[in-house]
Amino acid sequence: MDFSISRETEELREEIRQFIKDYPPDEFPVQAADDFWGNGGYSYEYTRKMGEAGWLSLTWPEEWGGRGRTILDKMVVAEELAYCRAPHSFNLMLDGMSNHIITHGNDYLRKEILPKIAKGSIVFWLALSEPNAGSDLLALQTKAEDRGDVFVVNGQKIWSARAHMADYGYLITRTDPNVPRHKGLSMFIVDRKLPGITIEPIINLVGENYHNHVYFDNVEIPKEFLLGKKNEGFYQMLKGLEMDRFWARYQKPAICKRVLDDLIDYCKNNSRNGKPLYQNSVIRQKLAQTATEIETCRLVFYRMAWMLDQKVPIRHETAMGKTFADEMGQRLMDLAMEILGLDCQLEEGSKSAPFKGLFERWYLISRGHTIAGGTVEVMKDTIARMGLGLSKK
Amino acid sequence: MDFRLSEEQQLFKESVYNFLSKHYQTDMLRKMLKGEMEFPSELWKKISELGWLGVAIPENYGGSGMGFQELVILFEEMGSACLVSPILSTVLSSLLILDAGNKKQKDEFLPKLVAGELRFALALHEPGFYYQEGGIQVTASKVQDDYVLNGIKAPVPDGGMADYFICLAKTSDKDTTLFIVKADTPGVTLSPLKTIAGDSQVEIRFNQVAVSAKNILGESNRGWAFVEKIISKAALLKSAEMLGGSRKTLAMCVEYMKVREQFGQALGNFQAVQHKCAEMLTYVDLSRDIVYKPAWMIDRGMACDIDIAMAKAWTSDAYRKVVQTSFQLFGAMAFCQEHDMHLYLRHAKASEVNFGDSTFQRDLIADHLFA
Repeated sequence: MDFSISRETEELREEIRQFIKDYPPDEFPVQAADDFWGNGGYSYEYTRKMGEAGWLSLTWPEEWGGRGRTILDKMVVAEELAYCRAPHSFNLMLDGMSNHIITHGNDYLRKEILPKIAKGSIVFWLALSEPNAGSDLLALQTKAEDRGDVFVVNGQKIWSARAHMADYGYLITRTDPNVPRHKGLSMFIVDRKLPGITIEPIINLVGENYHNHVYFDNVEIPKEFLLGKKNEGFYQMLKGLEMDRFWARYQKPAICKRVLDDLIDYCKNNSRNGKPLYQNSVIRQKLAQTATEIETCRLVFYRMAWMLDQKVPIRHETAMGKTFADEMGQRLMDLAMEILGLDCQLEEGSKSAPFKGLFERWYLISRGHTIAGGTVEVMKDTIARMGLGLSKK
Repeated sequence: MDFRLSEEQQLFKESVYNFLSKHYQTDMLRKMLKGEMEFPSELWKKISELGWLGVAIPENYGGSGMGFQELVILFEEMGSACLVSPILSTVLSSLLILDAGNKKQKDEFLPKLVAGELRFALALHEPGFYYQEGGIQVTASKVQDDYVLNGIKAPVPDGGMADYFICLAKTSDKDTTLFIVKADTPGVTLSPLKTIAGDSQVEIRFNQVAVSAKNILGESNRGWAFVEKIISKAALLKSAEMLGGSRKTLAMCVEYMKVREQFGQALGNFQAVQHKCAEMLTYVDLSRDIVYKPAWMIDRGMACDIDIAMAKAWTSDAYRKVVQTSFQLFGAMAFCQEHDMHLYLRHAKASEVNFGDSTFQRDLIADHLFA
């Protein structure tokens, strides 16, 4: 085994550190605050800056404007960005999308969409879940009827993250209702401005509009925007899932490491009942456990990145990594609240709120992480089946 | 980065697995547990011939000059087979002599240790000691140029079969020194101890035991510096054993879940069972890299005490949880002496507590975090 990071990759790390120095994340406005996956929310401006510098297309083949770098390279870059809570969208939304378009897209889509992703000039939303198709995605009902030049879409999506600010959606619909349910699905890229699309905000637990209801009323999608083959959407999605789960969480260990470092600092500088927090043996034990979990989690994501680069088939690994990362983040937030004591209640804007209320916020919103993108329960089903060959009756 | 074993390493791993499958059965361990048998000398001979005792020892001392990664591979497979043996004591003694010994000591002991002709045991533990120098109460008083040892060492793994002990004793108010003590020196008394994992351990009483200053290992008053390093390496090898043990336990459990039927179907079809299996696989899979990375670091001469502490903390908890969960899923079968699960349950607890349990390791990690 070899755990060394190559010189080329280390050079890339220096390059992204310089980028972060040149464009300090704190100085950028944030438009969407879906943070703590590995990013500090989403900023159009910051994402565009990253695009200009070529970071968003780092791993794409050179023929599509990328730098042809490895996924391991990208993980190192993502770690640096996550550690400083950069407000970017270097995750599922763009990585997953570009991966799907490069793999399944026709040349029209590749030429039309990829350059915009690379520049950071567009925002995507995922139009997957429906009111009656959450974990059981195959129950989805939204229909797309093939009328030759266009597909006519009718139906409803829910939990469409960032749809209100998005340019395009990644849509999965039923194109054949008369076959077993996994056989009649198709994928589309959908322009949000098409007539017939209505977006209604969902206000989340911290009072923000991040998710949306999206209604499709006779929306005509030009046939060029069919992503991949008609009726093969489910198989295409399955192929991409391993990547998607990786992309969605590979920055988690690094962002957790930053929280850990912040908490260590806090414990050095704060006391409870006259005793410095860093001398509290229970807190020391829990911080050390967190450090251990972060390191194991980081290594397993490195292993996955290496597997994806080497084209070693993924079985349960990404489902496992996702679940572990999300639960680790939640445990870390439990610990953060415990360490902050009574002050943990103070929200952003309150006088003396520790870390400006960030951990109070993350404590709340991280509850969504074990639900979004595959619940822990569904992931455990996947791990048991793919990793151990256990099956349902 | 490369997360594969090299071809040579893979072959070595397979050879260890194949040998143990053929020559070691858990029935032997059951007998050792009952005190009906000691580790078979025939098997010891074969193991020494295979070179397992000298994996990370340079060739000029008869070792095979491989690295710590190979040692970790060996211990992973030993853990998987639930092999309870004096191998760890021998390997640690050799590494300690290699690190601390003078030329004469290395020349005298290493080739014989590697060949399995001499047995050493590490006499570190004492009542009230848990891997910190302050816990050492056995004294070595200077009498003219030599020393006299007094006190109790227990439990001492593999002490009963040892030709020599490496004994850590207080030589000043705050300092300790390592001594090589011949087992048959007058004043040394052994009492056998029964242990949870069936390994052979003893209590050693030192009563006015005379030791020549020539038998100091390393330097006088600098014993702990060497011991600290060997404890860390031991913790990593125990972690490797625990990685192997947890992997095997899970495999046995899943295999059974696929065939054992209740309510008209395999237990493994039930989601309650599947989710437990998924959690176990997560513990096992996450154990691998956290164990192999420090081994790789040792081979590259990198400092890795904290990485090892993390490996030992993680695998100690992981193995215990995996073996307890497997035990539960096996149901009443696991409760029988003839079933292997209790052997792993025993092995997990002994491995966890030796060379620092997870609480101890997390203390080390916390010291580092707040350094």
